[in-house]
Amino acid sequence: MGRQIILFSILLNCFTFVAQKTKNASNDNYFRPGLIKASATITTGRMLQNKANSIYLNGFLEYVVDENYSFRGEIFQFIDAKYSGSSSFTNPNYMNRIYFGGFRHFGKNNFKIATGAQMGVLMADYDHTSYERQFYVAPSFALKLGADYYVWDYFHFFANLSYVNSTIRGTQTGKHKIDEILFSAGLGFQINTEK
Amino acid sequence: MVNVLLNDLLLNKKNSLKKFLVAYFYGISFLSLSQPLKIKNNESGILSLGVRTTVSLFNDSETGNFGTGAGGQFRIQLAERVNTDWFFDYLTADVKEIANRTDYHIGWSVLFYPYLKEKQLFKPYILAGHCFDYTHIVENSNRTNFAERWSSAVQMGIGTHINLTQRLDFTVMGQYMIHLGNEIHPEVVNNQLVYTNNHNHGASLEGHLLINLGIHYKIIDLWGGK
Repeated sequence: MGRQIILFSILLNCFTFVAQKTKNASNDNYFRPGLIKASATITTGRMLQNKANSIYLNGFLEYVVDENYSFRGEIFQFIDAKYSGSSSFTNPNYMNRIYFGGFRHFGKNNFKIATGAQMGVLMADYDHTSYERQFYVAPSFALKLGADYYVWDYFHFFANLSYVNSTIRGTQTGKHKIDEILFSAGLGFQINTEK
Repeated sequence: MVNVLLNDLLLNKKNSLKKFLVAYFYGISFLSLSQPLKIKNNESGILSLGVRTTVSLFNDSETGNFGTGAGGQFRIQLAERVNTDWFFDYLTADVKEIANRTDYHIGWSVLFYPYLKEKQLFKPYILAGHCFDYTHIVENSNRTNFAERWSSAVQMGIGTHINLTQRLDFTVMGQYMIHLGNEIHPEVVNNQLVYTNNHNHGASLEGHLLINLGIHYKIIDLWGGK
């Protein structure tokens, strides 16, 4: 978890530094109402109670409705995890997280800090025993902090840190709390639908 | 002299004439590369070709040895502040002194120039992009004992061009690349190399820091800074 926060902090500082250097250099403001953003990237996570390091593929689609607000849908597809000896929920056959929510964007020009909340579900298929396999849908929510730097009409760099809360209930061993800190960063794509 | 040669070729050898004309126009093309590049508006549209050498630090991997590589790339600049690198890298590294590892990277990065001015020697940039990779690990003394995987990666980094002339630049870049693929975990058991997998689904993340040194030459302004 510490590593993800450090990585996010480094990227945030880099974006801030670069944005300050370029704030007067470009008159183009790429972030404006009507913008559609999307990307897919690799996400690393730390399961807080389950003591495991997870790997997800993460994709999002976002629409900017106002100068400061946007809606965003997002999916995290679980790939694998490295578990510790104290992990109680291990090796799901299938797991993903789906979220939708709103974001507030702060900052001028093309460098934006965004915070948001998303509601969603965690879906997991899990073998409790060798003969019992069950599918669970657990309500979940996500709190996010992100930094975006829009560099052109069609590209932006991004870094996001998310806290996701979820509890799988009704398993043979009781409930499993699977809160995670997720970190993702990379190259995003966007198009402006309004002039 | 050229006229005599040309007449001879015209009269006697049609195939030789073709070769001569091809060589002639190639020669003209190369001579034009030594001329200053005509840039119409800004640097948008410039195509560059280059080669690069890479130092790879596999710092997240069990195969944590120092690797070196060679490769090539071309650049297409999309806007005054935005460029794209399209690259191929071939990297080799030792694995615990009993095996070796070969990585092939093919990918692209978007470069953003935050600081621009006329005739700048250093042109710094930040980058992010995607990459597809093939990894092959083989035991040195037994070539039949190998493991391989395909993976995809994302990378972010910083770098700078050092503009030696209007058309020629030297580039220094550092980027962190994180790969998602099947896990290859080489271990020495009873003096033999075995590949184990600690992950249930067989997937793992592996990050490494790449230091690239490259030299590039601007070939043509494709769309004249529109």
